[in-house]
Amino acid sequence: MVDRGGTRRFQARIAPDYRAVDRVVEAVEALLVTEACRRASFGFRLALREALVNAVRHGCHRGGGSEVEVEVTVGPERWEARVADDGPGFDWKPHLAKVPVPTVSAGRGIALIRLYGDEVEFNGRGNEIRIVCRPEPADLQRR
Amino acid sequence: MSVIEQGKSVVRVRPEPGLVASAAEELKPRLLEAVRSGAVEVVFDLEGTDQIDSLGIGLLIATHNTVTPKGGRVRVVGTSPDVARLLKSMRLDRHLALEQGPDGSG
Repeated sequence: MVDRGGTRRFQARIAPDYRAVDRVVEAVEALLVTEACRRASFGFRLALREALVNAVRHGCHRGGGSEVEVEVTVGPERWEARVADDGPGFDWKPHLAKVPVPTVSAGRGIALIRLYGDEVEFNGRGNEIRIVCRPEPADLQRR
Repeated sequence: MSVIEQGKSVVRVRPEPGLVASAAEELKPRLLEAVRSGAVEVVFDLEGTDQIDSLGIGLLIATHNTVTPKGGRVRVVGTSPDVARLLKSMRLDRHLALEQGPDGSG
C-alpha cells in the first residue's frame, strides 16, 4: 500500500515459524528497492529480521505465544518497523547494556538491533518492539 | 533448501536464503553429523546473499567451537561488504577466517 506522501506500508500476522520470517523480510525488501541502496537496506532488514526471530523464538516457542504481528512503514527519510507477539514478554532492560562475547553462540539479537536501529523502543511488558532507521541521504541513491 | 557438499575432511555449506534462523535450524543437525563423520574444516559460502541474523552467526560460532578442538577451522567465504563489516564489528574475524571472494580470495 502506498499513501500520497509516497510512504509504503506492509502489515501481516505470521505463524511462529522462521520460514514466515524469511517471507516477511523478502516482502519488505521489495518495498525498499526503490528507496535504498543496499547498505542502508541491509541494516533495516537485519534489525527487522532480528526482531521477528526474537518474537518467534522467545515470545512464541519459549513463551507460549501463538502469532507475531508486524507493521512496516517505509517513507522517503524514515523507515519504521513494529513487531509484537502475544507471549508473556521479557525484562529487556538488562539486555540493552550487554556486549556479545565473540566465542559465545547466543546473545546477539538485541545488540544487532541496536547496532542498526536509530531508535529502538520496547513496550513495558517486553512483547513489542519499535525500530526506526533514518537512512543518510547519501545512502538513498537508487540502486 | 541449503546445500551441503561433504568431502573427506571439508564440508562446504551454502545456506538458503542466507545465514539466518531458518537455515541454521535446518543445518545444525546436518553439520553436527558431518563433523562426527570426520569433517574438520567447514566452509560457509555466502556468495550472492547478504541475509544474516543472530542465529546464523550463532551457528558459525557453534561450529567453530566444535571443530577447533579437533584441529579444524571455519571459513566464511563470499561475504558481501556489509556482512564482512558486521562480522568484524562483532570481533568474529579474530576467530573465523573471513574471505570476501567466492573461493576464499580477497
